[in-house]
Amino acid sequence: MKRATQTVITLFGVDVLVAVLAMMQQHGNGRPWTFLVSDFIPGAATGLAAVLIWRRRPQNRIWWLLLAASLTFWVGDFEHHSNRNVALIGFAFSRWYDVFLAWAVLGYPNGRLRGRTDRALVVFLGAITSARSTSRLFLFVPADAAGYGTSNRFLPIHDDRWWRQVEDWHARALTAGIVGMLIVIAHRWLTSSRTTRQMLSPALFAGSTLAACVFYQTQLGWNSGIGPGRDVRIYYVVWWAYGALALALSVGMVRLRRTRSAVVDVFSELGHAAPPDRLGVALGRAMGDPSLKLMPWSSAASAYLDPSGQPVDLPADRSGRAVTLIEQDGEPMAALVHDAVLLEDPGLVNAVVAAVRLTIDNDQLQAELEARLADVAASRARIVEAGDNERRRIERNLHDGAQQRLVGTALGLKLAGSRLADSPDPRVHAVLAEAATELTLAINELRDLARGIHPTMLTQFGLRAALESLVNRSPIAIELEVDLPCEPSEVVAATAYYAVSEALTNIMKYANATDVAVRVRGDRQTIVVEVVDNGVGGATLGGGSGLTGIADRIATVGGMFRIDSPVGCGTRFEVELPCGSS
Amino acid sequence: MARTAVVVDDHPFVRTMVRRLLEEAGFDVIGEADDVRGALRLGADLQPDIMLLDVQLPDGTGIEATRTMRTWETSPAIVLISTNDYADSAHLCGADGFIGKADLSLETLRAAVGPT
Repeated sequence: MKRATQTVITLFGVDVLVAVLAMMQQHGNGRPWTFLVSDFIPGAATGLAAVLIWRRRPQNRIWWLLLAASLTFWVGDFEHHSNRNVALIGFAFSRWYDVFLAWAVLGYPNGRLRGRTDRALVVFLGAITSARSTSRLFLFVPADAAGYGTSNRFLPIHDDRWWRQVEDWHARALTAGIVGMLIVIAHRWLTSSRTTRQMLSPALFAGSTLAACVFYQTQLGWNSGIGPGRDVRIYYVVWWAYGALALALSVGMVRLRRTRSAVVDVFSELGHAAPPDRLGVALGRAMGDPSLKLMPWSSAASAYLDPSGQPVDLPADRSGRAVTLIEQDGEPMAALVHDAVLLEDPGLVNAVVAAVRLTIDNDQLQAELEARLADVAASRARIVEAGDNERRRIERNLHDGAQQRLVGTALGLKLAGSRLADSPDPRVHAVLAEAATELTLAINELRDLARGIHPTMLTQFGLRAALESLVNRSPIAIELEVDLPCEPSEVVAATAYYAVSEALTNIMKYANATDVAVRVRGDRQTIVVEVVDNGVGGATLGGGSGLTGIADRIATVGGMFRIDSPVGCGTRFEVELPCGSS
Repeated sequence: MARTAVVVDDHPFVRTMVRRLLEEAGFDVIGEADDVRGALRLGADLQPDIMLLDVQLPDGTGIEATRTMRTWETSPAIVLISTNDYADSAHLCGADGFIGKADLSLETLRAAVGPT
């Protein structure tokens, strides 16, 4: 166990021991059980609050202030001890818990006094309590030998007015100090964010109540303690107020912990793709700090950006606001400007920083991925377009070159054949006729090849004419409906044409269909192509059907492809394409 | 008197063969062109009885040329020819017939244009 922990545990042990001894003293003084309970509970609550806060946040100074308050709470219980020295200490050093508790309330939630006013108040309370203790040590003269308190052992003073003057001034000064504290507390509460108020409210309420009770007590001139004729009930109220204050200080810490859960919910709710501005607003709402700002770093601007995207300087340190920088590998990523009270829970801040870092990182990765996907899509589109252009070029070359030469040659042979029709050698005519026939077949095959590479009619006369030509060449009757308000772009028209061509090819090969319909309809944004048959169904992507290639091409132009082909129930093939009107 | 004809095709060899085919069929070929502009000019200037017009031309299509000539007061009989099948389009644009180039022969020509 670490030495610091051992020391702390020892101190808590001492507190418990002193509490037990104090209760034994009071019991020996003949106090009733109500007195003992009321006396014990506040001191114990203060000590318990110290333990709770130390366990959660050992670096927070509040816990040792509360421990000191708890220890000094028991001191006054010994002022009737049979040992004169112990009784003197108990008498002289009671009420020091006022100073420690005041310090804890003013320095809440981290135990650090914020400004000159806070420090002045604590110093003031310490000074007047020191004066009171000194007066009780050196100036006190008991009312009678059998009365309350112990006789003065250090100075030959017999006039009790000196220490009574000090007691009166102490009462007035304590009153002034309490009023000052109440003003500071009220101002702090009014100028705090919601998160800070949530933390401060229990402690401030309890502190104010206690201050009011002590104020009342001092006004009654009961600084001299409990004596004959005094109503102890006011002491019960004051003591319970002390206990309530200690517990309220713990409650405030717990409320901050609840903020952590709210923050976790923010990330669960927004998911991993929340942009910084939305995330900042949501975090501010969850943490009760509407002024919370999440400012992403811009490498281009070399500055942090405000929610509107403008470069902005980080706010200078001022009361109540803190800046937490978020970095990744030493490079700035974002800055979080928030209520300083959130720093009281370093775990909360660290969790927020880690989650924000993840979110921003993810956001950047998402943007990079989208940019890359866009590049890939553009690249694919360029490849498809280049392929279409090449096909068009090949078809053109075939048409203008080989096809025409064959046509001319076939014509020449036919002419030669007709001129040699009366030739004495019938084989000449037969050979020429056969050659012409073969050439005609070659021309037709070349025509089909060229059409398969790129349908000229699509380029020259558009999608409707190309589909009509396609359907007319089919060996089975196909119903064709085309309803397009405008001609799509060349790439989209080619995609639609090839999709129908591939669908019809599959129908001819596999479907055994007797009824086929091709419907093309659209508007200025979208074209929908349907090919429906009453064949055997069971069509799928892959399996040599050629649909995979068509699906890829459709995806390249940003279209969608659906196929519904239950076995035995025909096939419905649907393509939806962006029009891309030319 | 033989009927006059004009041949329009952007391939010189095909144009030559079609000319010979027309002459073999008894037509007097009075002009040749290799694009739509030439076809319209010859159609207006020479006013042939018949024009054999290729569909795919460098500056347009024979179908467009047919539509244009059909707006004239008088226009020749037009038979479209092509390696691709434009029979339906030919009918719709007002041509008098369509012959696939692979099927071009004296018989198909006479069937399309009638006796000379």
